[in-house]
Amino acid sequence: MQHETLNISSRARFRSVGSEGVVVQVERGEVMVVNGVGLRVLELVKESGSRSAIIQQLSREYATGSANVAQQVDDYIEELYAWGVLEQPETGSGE
Amino acid sequence: MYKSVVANIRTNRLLHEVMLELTFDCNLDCFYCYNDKNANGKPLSLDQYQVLFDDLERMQVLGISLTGGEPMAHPHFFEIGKMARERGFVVRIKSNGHALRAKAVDRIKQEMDPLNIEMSLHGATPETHDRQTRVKGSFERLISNIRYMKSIGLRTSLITTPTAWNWHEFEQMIDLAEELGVRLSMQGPVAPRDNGDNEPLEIQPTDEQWEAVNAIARRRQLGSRNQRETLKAPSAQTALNYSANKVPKNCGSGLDSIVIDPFGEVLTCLHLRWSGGNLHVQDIDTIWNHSPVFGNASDMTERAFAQFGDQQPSLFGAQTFCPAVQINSGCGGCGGKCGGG
Repeated sequence: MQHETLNISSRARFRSVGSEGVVVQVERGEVMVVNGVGLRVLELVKESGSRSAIIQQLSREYATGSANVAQQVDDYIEELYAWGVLEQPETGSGE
Repeated sequence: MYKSVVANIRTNRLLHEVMLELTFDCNLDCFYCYNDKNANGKPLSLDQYQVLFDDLERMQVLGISLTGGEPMAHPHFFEIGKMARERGFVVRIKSNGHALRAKAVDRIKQEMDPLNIEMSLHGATPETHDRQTRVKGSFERLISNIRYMKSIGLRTSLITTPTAWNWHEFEQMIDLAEELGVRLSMQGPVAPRDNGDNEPLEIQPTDEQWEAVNAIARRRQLGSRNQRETLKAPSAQTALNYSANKVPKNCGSGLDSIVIDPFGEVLTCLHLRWSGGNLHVQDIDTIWNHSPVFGNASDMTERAFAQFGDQQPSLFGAQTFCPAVQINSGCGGCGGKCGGG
């Protein structure tokens, strides 16, 4: 499943530690270590929350094709959902 | 993988964990409490905590522990915890558990979303536990509060310090923790008070009592706190395994964490209370990155751990080792403020 709008879970915390990142899922009490790219994706999720903006930004930063980046970002996003680090954005109540 | 992060943190002296002693006030009166209850100064204001958290977030600090005294005795406990959560810190609370009644616990869960609440267990029976806390009913209250916290899904843990008064109930404490569904770890040895008062050492277990406790701990696979922590960079014994990564062999003091007392003193650790500066005068970034105290603490503790070689570090029979407790117990003077010289 492709998610265009991304949201860090209210139960997740992350910080950079040198070139790596440490992610904590508070509800599960789990600690994960991500590499520099994984950390950068989390920072971009926090900044923009837009999948396409993240792919564009990473393509620029790593000077690589967006199709290649998109596939890797989508795989990683699925992992982040499975870890409980991302959650579905709240939908508006005015339906 | 977390080992590599720990190595990175310690090798590069990245501040990772901050423990806030919010107050030295407490609603219990534990016999062996190490706090100096006569310590005084100008407490940090709520605005100063806000500035501190902003700085620590910028410095990429991950964990904030709220402790005391009893942290809930601070008039702005909830506001401080909420601020920490809003800035993305992993919040942990170290409490005696006495004030953690349903209404307060509900609020903590809602506003702070802590990773863990750690509470002290002094015995497996009201007689023993209450003898150490010197407050009748504290055991029953603690157990009742833990049951409620578990029922609403809060992660809790218990920590116990073996003493001459409770060592005989050590195995029962493990059974009790298992029945509650709460992790129990142990710490120790009993330390002198921060003002140099050695009275707490009167209930240090004897060598034979420590031996009995350690045997039970081994049989029941009970870890010391530092071995069981999930976030705090492992210290003492675990750190000794990091030599391949060229990580200093010490407890982490001066390398990855600090303690801030209620009056803004930025200290190297709970027991090694060397001050790097005061938040009323300087910001945390300046203190952490420019005070020589943290490097001195790291060097001193590395030398202290070196005496054990490849042996298990220990002190007073406990299978844990704290250089500060060793220093403070020897001189009975200043709680380490002299620099151990």
